[in-house]
Amino acid sequence: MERTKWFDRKFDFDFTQNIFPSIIDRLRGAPARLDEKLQNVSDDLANKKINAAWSIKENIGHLIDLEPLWMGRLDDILAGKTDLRAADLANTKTDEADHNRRKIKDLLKEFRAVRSATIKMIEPLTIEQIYMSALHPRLKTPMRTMDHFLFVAEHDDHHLVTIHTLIQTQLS
Amino acid sequence: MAMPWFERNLKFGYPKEMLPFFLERLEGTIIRIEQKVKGINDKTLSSKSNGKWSIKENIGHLAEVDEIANKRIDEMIIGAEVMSPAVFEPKDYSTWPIEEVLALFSRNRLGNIKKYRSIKDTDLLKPSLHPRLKVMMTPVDLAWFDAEHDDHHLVKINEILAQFSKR
Repeated sequence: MERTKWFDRKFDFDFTQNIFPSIIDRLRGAPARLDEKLQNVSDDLANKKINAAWSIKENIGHLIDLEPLWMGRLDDILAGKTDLRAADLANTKTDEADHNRRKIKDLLKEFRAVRSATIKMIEPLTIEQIYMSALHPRLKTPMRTMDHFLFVAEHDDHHLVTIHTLIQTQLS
Repeated sequence: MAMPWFERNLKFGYPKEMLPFFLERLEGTIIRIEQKVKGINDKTLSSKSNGKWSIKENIGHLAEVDEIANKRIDEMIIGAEVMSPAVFEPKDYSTWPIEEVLALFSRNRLGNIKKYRSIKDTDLLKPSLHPRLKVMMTPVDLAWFDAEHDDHHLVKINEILAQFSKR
């Protein structure tokens, strides 16, 4: 099944209704979804790179690596900045982290911890804060707090699908 | 607090290349629900507060919606003009052990995902009219719609659990 590449994704941030509670729950669910997906995957299999793309561990590590960016962008919005801080589109942090040397269970534990800290930060946000916005540097579109975290939830799904595909490919 | 589902403004017209992500979300709902109800006593899971659905009824409702979704996928593929109507009041799942409610949901959900994965590429964007929304919807749109609907009920379950934790 063909799938849209992350940088080709189109986002619709025109909605006005407050769906932040649903978005928070999606974010909260990501660690459990990852745990479930990887429960029968060995460390060896999770290290394998196919066509020089990231391994399963590197995909998980990437989610961990990006959490500070997501939180930093929240800070940007709440501080009233006009632009969100830029991401490193080359993903140097993940490429240099050598996530493959770590155990899957440690990566999953760390992802759960960083995500849990994010949820703790965003759950108490007020309606006004949810609707504050700043410009996304790559998409060149204003992004409200709600849009920003919808983007994060979609990014989670992107990597969950990548991991799913890696598992299926290697098991077959 | 979750906004009323029938008030949600929803846009459709998703490309078929988005289906893998929607299926991932649909599959993930199973473990998300299991994590929420783990260790929660049966009284809480069965309790209807202010006449609203219990946690078991919210889960049972998702299982019933999946039965309709399964039918709707077939209808879109054969080119039906209008899809079957939705289900509203769930059965009384309060007397069911939670394991059976979860098993019913999991069975229906995995069956739908299997069906989605078996749809031919050329059938993925075949539209039929959604009877309540009065908009055309394809199997890809339906997968997104149901993933959003899942999230709505997961938030409802959170709200019930939060009420009990305050008592």
